[in-house]
Amino acid sequence: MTLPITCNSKEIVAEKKRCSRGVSVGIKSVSIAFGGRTVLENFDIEIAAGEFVAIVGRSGCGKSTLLRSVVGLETPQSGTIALGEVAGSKGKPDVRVMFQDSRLLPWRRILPNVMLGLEPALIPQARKVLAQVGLAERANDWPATLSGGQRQRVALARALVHDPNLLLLDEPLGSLDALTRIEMQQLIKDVWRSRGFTAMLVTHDVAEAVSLADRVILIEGGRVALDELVNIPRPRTRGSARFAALEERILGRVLQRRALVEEQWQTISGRTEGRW
Amino acid sequence: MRALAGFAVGGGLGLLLGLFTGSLHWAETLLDTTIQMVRNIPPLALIPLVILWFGIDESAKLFLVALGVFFPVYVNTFHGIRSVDRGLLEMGRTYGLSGWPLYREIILPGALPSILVGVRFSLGLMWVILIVAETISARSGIGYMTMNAREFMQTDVMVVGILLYAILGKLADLLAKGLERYWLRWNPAYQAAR
Repeated sequence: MTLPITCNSKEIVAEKKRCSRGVSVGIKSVSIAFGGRTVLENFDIEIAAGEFVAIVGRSGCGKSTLLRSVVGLETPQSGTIALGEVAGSKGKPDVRVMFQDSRLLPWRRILPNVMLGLEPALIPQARKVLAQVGLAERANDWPATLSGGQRQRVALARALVHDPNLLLLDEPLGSLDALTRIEMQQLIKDVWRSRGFTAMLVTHDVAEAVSLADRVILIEGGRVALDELVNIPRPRTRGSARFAALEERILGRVLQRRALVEEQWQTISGRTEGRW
Repeated sequence: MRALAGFAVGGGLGLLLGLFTGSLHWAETLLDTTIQMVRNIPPLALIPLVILWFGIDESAKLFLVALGVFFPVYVNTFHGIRSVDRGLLEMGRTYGLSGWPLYREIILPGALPSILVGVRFSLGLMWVILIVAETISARSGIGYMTMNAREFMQTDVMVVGILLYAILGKLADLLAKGLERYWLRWNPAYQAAR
């Protein structure tokens, strides 16, 4: 298992408490079917507290369903999904979801949207988080006046203001343009590093998965087809040989070009062995 | 005044029942068919019965107006609640909202555009029904005045009555529009034309 929690040395003191916020997730032999079609079958994964796991796979492979069942939006026909204990608190772990579309309430201004489900006393905190995602001055605007990327940032702020123990990201960057997406990835990376929650990211984008996650899981035919630790030290640069090799390997596996890619992998890993 | 009282009673009931059947499935199964059957009876066809039940005083007119405005409000409220964005509901639930907070934050505002369409529609209907209701043995009201004028061939009074209805109708519509503009100001489609 990788070392799950990484804090910047400067922030360690201030964020020490938050670094232990993550909860573990245990998914055991979960099966989910819709109308006779099995989406997940005897599905098992263990996610350590504070770990960042990316789940990739083709459309309709059940990765979103998995995420939705963790938050209780789908009920598995069999199996269990257990969330670990929150360190230093006896309350139920706080799980928040970020969806592909921002799902902001169009009839609430930005700040009340971030405040959804919170006491009015927490307004300063909401403003702080809004500033963290760079939208402090838009607090009194309507969601309709924001761009797609800005809306996603508000959605991220809304999830973060609850200081979640587990953050589920259901292709949150799927509908953003390439530049905004890179910005958002950086933002997600930063907040994850500083807060230390457990994160599950569902994505189509293998590069995104490799750049963000500690571990990449490929779902295929309702099962785990690949479970790969990303052993690339952070900060990760997309251009590096290891990054590219790993991305290519996972992508190749997704696209079922296994034999060819294995071969390439052998040569690449052989060549870069000295640096591992 | 008759118009407003009838509108308040009918609209309020329509709103409540619409919310009820829109949010609870068993309530829909229980009540919706009945309501739809009653809806298809023209309120004005009930005049003879209403006179029998309520006599010819105020309560009869109030009943007719209330009955008339009930259905547009009911149908639109029901439809509004059913067409609230599923994604938002789901999001609300994952943020721990349920019961009244879920209603206040998501279901009601989501259904509001539709509810207001019902309100505007029923405001128009309210006047039509009131005029007819006031022709049955009223001692006051614009409908009564116009009917009297017809009997005595007073064209000027009739025109005044008709104009009054037009102005009142326009005022009611302005009111509904104002509500829309205030409550739906988040929605770009309802913002004041620039």
